[in-house]
Amino acid sequence: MHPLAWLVWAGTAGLCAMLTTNPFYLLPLFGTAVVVYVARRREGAPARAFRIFVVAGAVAVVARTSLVLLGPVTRGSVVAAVLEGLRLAVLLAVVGVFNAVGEPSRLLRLSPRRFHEASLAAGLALSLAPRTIDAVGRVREAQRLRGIDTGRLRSLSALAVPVLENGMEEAVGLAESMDARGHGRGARTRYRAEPWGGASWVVAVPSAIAGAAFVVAAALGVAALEPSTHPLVWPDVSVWLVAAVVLLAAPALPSEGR
Amino acid sequence: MRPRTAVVALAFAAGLAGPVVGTASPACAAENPHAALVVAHDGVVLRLCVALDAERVSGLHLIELAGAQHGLDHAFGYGGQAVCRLDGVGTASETCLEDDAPDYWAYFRGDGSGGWRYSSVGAGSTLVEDGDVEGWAWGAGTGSSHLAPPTAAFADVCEQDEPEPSPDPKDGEGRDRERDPEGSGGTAPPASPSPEPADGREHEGERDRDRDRDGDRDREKEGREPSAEAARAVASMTTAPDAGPSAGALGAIGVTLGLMATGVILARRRRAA
Repeated sequence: MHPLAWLVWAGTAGLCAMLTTNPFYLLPLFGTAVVVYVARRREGAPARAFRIFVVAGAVAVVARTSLVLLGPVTRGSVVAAVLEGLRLAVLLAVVGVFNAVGEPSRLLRLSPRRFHEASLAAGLALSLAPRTIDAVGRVREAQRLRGIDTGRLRSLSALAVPVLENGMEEAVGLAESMDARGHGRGARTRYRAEPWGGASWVVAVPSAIAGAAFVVAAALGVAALEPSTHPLVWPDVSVWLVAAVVLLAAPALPSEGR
Repeated sequence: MRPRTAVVALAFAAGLAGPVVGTASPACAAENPHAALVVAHDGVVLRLCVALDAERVSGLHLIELAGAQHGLDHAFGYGGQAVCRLDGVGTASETCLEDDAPDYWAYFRGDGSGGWRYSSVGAGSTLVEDGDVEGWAWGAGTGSSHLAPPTAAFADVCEQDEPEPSPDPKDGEGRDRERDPEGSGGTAPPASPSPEPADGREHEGERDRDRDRDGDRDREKEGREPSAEAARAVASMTTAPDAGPSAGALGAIGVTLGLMATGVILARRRRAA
């Protein structure tokens, strides 16, 4: 599967989430992200980090809703805040899925030379959360073997300092190994061309259709993409857009040669 | 994926399906708190006696109550903080003050003796209590340069033997709508003759003549000044009690639950494999 295919999926799913605050589109979109994650996640730390993205989404909803207290509190304003938080949560879930299913190293090799360092930084940043989670687990176990309880607040430094040190060492080691492989030094060859096969089409085509449906609906101003909260009424729900969201779950379909 | 995450998402869906829509209109008895709402535009004056659902409500909420009890057409903008449309006049958009400039709905508060004071505070921050008089007038200008609604005392609007206001605006009771020949709230010159049906902005003449024209007006499109009967019909349709979630909404919830269930099943299968 071509790594760009996942970028297409994540990009259009994110675009659809940005275009609407209608919960009846956002909730199926969240469900779609979950299904794709479960079906296509790779083994390893980035996949386990999906949980963090979901929790961050819940925090976003709570935080955005509590901001309502800054202004007049009416049913409509609370609902509007919850919906905006929900949109953010769905976006985070999409990013989490992309992190767990995509292969940043392969994607990185495809980046244009001009953006190589920027995409390298982005890829490393995305891997920071899972790497840190792993480091925290390892440090905690190592300290427990020494009889140090890292659960208390005063022994926070016993946990934090090794984790930070570990992070620094990893960064330096990574830089050295990349340097040894000649990153950022000029000409790069396309030694192994990436195949764009059937599996990539299965991911890219439904995403493109779904994205087009949302963009058209937004351009035409139909289908209650931004439901009214004053007065507070149940929004219209277009079956076509719900179907488009379900289309985004196409990558979860079983296929050979993943 | 843990079933816990599925529960979280289900809680999301349940929580969002919670908001109850529509306010019940309380019986208008002498004991319940009431406020008077006067809406004036282009020679049309609405005088509504609105029952409050609390000791104090905001000016915006009073309009919502009037919408529920008398079918007053209304729409807010700017995140629900500004009054954009009343009784079909004004653009119902998020940026209506810019769209309709220089006209807007000016907010007045009764001074206790029938007169008006231009409110410098937005209707989202004011408190309306039993016996208060609130006024809204469409036009241009700020402060004293803006036309005020015609004088109205609370006792005139909310009489003692007020019948129960019903959402059906056709009965005409409980609300007092009249054409104001002085045109104190409007831009129409008072001396103009009977206008053509195409020009919806001017209303002069007796009620009988208006009723003859009502037939023509009923066929006019929105955006023109509708007749009393057509306006009430439109108001009842736009602010009618909500019918509840549509079939599409329920389908979307079903789709979400189906997707989550699929995720749980796939996760179990993967773990078992």
